[in-house]
Amino acid sequence: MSRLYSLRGLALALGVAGLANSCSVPYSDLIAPAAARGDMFNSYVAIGNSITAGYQSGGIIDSTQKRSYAFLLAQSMGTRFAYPSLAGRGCAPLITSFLTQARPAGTSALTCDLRSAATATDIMNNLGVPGAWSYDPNVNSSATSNALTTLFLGGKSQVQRAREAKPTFASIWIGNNDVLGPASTGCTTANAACPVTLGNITPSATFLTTYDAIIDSLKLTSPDLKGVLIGVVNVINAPLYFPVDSLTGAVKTAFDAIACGAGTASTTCAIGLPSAVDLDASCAAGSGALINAMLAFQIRTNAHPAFIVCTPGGAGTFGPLPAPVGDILVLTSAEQNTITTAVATYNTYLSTKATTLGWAYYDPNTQLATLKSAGTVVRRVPNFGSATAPFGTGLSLDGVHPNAAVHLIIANDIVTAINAKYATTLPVVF
Amino acid sequence: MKRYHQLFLAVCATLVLAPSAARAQAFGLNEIGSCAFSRGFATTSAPCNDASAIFWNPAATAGMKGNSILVGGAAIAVKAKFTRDSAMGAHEADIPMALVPHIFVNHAMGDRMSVGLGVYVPYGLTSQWKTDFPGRFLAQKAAIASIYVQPNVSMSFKGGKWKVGGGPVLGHSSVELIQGADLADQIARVDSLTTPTVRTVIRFSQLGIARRTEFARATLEGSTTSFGLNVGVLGKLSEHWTMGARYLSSLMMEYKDADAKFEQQETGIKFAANNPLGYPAGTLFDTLVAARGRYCTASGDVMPVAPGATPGSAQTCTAAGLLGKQTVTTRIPHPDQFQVGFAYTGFSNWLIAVDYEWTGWKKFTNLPVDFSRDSVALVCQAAIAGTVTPCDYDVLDRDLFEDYNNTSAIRIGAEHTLKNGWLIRGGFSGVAAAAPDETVTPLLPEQDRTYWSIGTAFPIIKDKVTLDAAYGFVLGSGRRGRIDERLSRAVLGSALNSGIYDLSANVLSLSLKANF
Repeated sequence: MSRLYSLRGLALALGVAGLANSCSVPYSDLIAPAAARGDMFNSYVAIGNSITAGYQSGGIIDSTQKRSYAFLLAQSMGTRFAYPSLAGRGCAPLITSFLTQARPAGTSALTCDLRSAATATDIMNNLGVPGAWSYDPNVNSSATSNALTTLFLGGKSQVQRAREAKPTFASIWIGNNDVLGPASTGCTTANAACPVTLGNITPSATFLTTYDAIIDSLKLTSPDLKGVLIGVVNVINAPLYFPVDSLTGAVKTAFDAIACGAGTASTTCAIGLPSAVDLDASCAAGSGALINAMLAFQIRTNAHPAFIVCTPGGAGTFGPLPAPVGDILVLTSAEQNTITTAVATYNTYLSTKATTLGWAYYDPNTQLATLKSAGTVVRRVPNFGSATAPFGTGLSLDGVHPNAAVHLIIANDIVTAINAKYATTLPVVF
Repeated sequence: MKRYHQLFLAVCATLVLAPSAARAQAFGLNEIGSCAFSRGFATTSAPCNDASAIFWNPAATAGMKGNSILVGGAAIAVKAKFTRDSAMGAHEADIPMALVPHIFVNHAMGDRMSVGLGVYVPYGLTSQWKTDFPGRFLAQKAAIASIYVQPNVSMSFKGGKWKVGGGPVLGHSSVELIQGADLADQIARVDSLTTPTVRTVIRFSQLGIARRTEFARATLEGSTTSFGLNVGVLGKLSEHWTMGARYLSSLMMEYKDADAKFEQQETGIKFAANNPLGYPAGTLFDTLVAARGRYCTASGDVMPVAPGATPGSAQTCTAAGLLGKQTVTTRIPHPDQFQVGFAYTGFSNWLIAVDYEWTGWKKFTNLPVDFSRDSVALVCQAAIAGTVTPCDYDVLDRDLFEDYNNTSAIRIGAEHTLKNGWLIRGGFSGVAAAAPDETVTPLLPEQDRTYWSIGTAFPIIKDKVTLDAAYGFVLGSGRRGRIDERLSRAVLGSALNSGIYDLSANVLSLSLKANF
């Protein structure tokens, strides 16, 4: 009895000790945070260009980086999303007035406050780099690399940085610059003013090859990768381009005020009508030409004479004009068709590729066309008299990049596409 | 008799339940003698019947018979893992099995006095991670081994009821730290601002270089010695009750002029066109003279070749580089320990002991790492605009905040004597972490631990030679920790900690005891 009792006592003492110890252990806070919407979203990477990066109004700053559709998508997924946060005034600071193209006091388009050291991290989720073409994500350097390429990727490629994140989900929105770059000049002939021409639109075969390489590289280390492919925007629908037919009345007056108004450096504004831009007969109704709104500022800075000619080659009512007048910043119907055809070919491939991969696919052109048709969020014709919303309430001051409102719409459209494809329940973001 | 049983259980329960914040451990090592280990280290009031008492209670050797020697060691296999938040992966540690030796000898000088010598390791640690571990910039390997050598004298009084003992301690400690150096933290450029003499530092992280870009690996090795003492008292309170206490003083280990070597690591960084540093497109960072020249020890030396690069025509160092071979100084306090306990022998053939142990870890406030080449002689921008103040950038020096707390531990052990002369033992020790939430790092992912141990002693030659064997399992509770440096004490663990450290260990201890 004595021995039995003593063993019981010993067991009890040790048992109490173990119980006391186990009760003091704070196990409840020892669960590593994971994606709220499922394992598929544990590690999300976004490959892309300026829209993915959060570029707006000719610049990029931390607050616009946090308004990118990719950032919003990560919020919906409830997953980590590190982006290359820019310090201070950004790189470059945003244009604050469309009318003057001014940026915050003391800054210019060359101002760059570099990356925020405090938020530097090893694993990056937003890998979009402004200016990136379809061939950029797989290379460290290319002809289109810029200062932001290094600032965002640190000497590696988008795909290299993406692979470091061991992604489970990827969004890829690349190719816009493959047509935007050429379209932004509208040139058919290369010269000093037109380093990029429509001939530089990435051939569809090249686009397909480079795009395949991006996906192959990602899946090499993440074979179970899921994702969404996002179609290339038909950039001729961006409000930066407007029909020359609309350059009449109040629109023309406001356009002239920028190009030839007070403070203009143009030496040709007064040749035709005093302080106004002259439209060549080639731009008559029915020409179908689209004008790049930035032409007003080219005239203002005397980089372009105050004539708008809609015939490539520069010949018009006013006689021969020096190249690239008639070519630069003007998209003829034929040129528009070239761009539209290229975009359609890209997007047919992307849709098929997404199906092959079992990924979601989202074509933003439908939504953007709807918004433009309504005319408020995305204007059909710029309001050249507005300093803060010339292209609509959803477009930033550069006329190409969406602002927070359209990023939100796009993000929720992508959420819908992902939910439809994967039967997930990602919530809309606000 | 029954009253004593109830009293003993009450004491046990009180001691275990009361200090839920009981603390101890850090890089302390208690695996000193297999008997003590198997009894959960509860040996102050009832030291094992061997010369390991020189450590556990220096008084207890008084009254031992003849000569006694104890030789052994513990094999400690630690498993550790860090699981990063946000599903960024788990990283297993790569800790080699540690063998921790101990040797004690004691010589009885009559019935009342003994002299002896103990060599043991009360503080030690090896924390080692794989080379791709994201926390390697704090420590890829951290090892400390501190061997104490203690001569001991003990005496008994009042017919053997009370004993005192103690002796000086000579501690020899060696440290090794291997850590990565992060390019993101390094100075890339110093720009002028308003005047040529007022400058601002631009670090590589501001130019887009990812954090945890290992461009160099540092290996620091050094050793030192220090002195202290270990004393104890042991008393027989009644027929079945004994009490004991011991105190081991703190030793401050100053590692001066330790060796520091830096080895260039391949970053793979290839600069894009139009990069802010102005390098031609495709320039490899690793091959830049500006990068390789940092590893020059002296002017005139052959410049190191970039890792993975083919040696071309030899280039010569024009100056000593920041990362050339140099020395480093650091300091690690080894805290004092106080342990008190009670033992009860009222159960037939049973010995049961409970100890309380306090360790003065609060002395471990910081870990300075001072390199002999630690600064870039530049002028940096002062806090007040327009004022020019000379300063250095301390690009290598570190002062790691530790801010440990004093700790307590509860130890419970039992020993049962079988009829054939064999002994079976069991023990439990519950300890909590010395490190605060802000100091759970790869160097030492401190966390609450429980020790469960069992053991036996069986005579090989009766009354002459005995083999003690013990096995123990150490289980950590898991704890959130960090892999990044804490640059300010204002930054709390909740902001710094980015994952969970898990820790467990298996320990096998063997000791051979001989009496002659």
